[in-house]
Amino acid sequence: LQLVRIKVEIKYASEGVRWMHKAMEWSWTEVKSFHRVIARVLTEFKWLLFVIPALLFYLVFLVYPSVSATFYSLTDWDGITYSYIGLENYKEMMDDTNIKTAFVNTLIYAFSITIIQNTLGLLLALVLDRKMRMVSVMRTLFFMPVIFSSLVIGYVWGYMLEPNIGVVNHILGALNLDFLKQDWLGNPKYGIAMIILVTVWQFMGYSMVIFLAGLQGIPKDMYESASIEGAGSFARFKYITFPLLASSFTVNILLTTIGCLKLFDQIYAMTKGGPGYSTQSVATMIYTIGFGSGGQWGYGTAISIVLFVFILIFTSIQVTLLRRREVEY
Amino acid sequence: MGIRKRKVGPYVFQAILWILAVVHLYPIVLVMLSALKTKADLAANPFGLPTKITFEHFATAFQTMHYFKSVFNSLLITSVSVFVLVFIASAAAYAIIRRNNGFYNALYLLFLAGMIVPFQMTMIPLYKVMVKFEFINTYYGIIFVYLGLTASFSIFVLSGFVRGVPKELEEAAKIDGCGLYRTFFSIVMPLMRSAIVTVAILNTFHIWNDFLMPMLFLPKQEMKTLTVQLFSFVGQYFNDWSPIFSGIFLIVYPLVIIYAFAQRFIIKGITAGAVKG
Repeated sequence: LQLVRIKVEIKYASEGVRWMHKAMEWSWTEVKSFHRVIARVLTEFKWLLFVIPALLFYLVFLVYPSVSATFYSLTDWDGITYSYIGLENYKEMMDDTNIKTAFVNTLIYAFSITIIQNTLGLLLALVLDRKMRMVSVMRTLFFMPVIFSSLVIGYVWGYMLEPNIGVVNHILGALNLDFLKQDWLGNPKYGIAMIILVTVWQFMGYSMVIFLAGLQGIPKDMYESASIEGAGSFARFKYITFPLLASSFTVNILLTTIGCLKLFDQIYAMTKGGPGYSTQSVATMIYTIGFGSGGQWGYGTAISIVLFVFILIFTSIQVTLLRRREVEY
Repeated sequence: MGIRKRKVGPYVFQAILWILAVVHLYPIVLVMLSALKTKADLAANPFGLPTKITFEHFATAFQTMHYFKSVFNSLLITSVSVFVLVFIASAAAYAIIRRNNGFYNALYLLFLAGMIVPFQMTMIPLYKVMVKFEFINTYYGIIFVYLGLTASFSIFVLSGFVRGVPKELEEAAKIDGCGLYRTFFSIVMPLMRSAIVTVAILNTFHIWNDFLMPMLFLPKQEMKTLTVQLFSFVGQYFNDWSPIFSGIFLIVYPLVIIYAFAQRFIIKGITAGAVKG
């Protein structure tokens, strides 16, 4: 009997131990999972710390001002005092012919600069993609204007295009082509064209470099097999280069369009939007309205909001259209 | 004939390219030539080489632009901003790409949206922020602004590059007990080297050349940067092109030197992110 009792005790005891074990295990997993939660929160926090510094500066100096601009666009803010006037500014814009000119000009700038700059950039890239002596020096030279400030570039070209002492008219005179001499920037007929020319001149190297990178990503054996199958150089361009450069096109066209819709420095340095309003872009218009005689900041920010929406619509259309062309290879 | 033609062709082609390159760069050469000309020489002969070299205009430009002081200002602002930017932007780009969940994708879009905001929109509210924090006429104030405004583009380029960095190394480092930060600083950042250099260089040019921001936020004479000095210099010597060209020369040629050393990285790296992004 005692033996039985002992056996039972042992049984209970072992059961108890097992229970204890189970209990310990259980609480151990709980501790572990609690620990895991903390660890997860901690790593999540650690990851967050990677973003926080950049995000902080970005929120304070870009996002917050943009959001408050939306508010100011609904006021008659003159830089000091403001009162809420609803959508008045936006209504005023509809009847303002100068604003219309500025928007039309901006579209002209964006459209023509995007097309010309990228066409020339692509041509240059195709030419400078081959193996040649000093080819990298040449790339460097064509890229060089990109590094200078548009203000400085504007001054230099402003001098070159000056009607009396400028280099361009001087050369035309020396070539006995006096009838071609122009007041290049003072004549509303040529002002826009000259600004387009200078902008394309400055940034064509940038497009070139992006296309070059795209070209170098195209596998060479594709060209070889195409040649073997008897494809001429034009066919090779049409069926290999052009489609495979799609992602470079996307980047280039997007960057140029965004840049041109915001075009400011070149115009400010060369014509200040004049003569009259003939070369004014939306960006220079905003500046003129804000810093000009009236100091109509509320109105100015309203225009900038419209410009922002404009850019947003344009770029989203472009992204969807251009991305569709891109292929994996 | 056939053989000769094959040999001559590429040379003609190259010659045409060189002529194009020289014509392309003429405006920049013009700056140097005109800066060295005397006033009479520049008026009579704006196109060609100087007949007599003079440095007199450089002296004028040097003094009026307070060259050393403004170079110091430009250098300080540019280098500190770019240095800090490189760290915070690549950290952000790394987290955005590696986490790759809804929250971080939203952050990515938020950052990208900054690229299409026209600066004129934020200009005046930003000025109010600066006044409120008493950041006007301080170096750190304008550096903070640059960090905020250049974040978008830098993160765009860098994140495109992070996508191409293989994950395996980081995983191996994790198994070896390497913490998140150490992995980032000693493994990921060295791998991102080329993209980082590109971003650093592009932002160096951007900040060095920037005009509106220092114009608005550093109005004090001793704080003015080179571009702002040039602007007031041009205003002062309106239509007197000889000193103006010297002034332009003094601000343009430091860039040419940096560019000469760094062009290898630029041309190669500029698109590392852009094309893949």
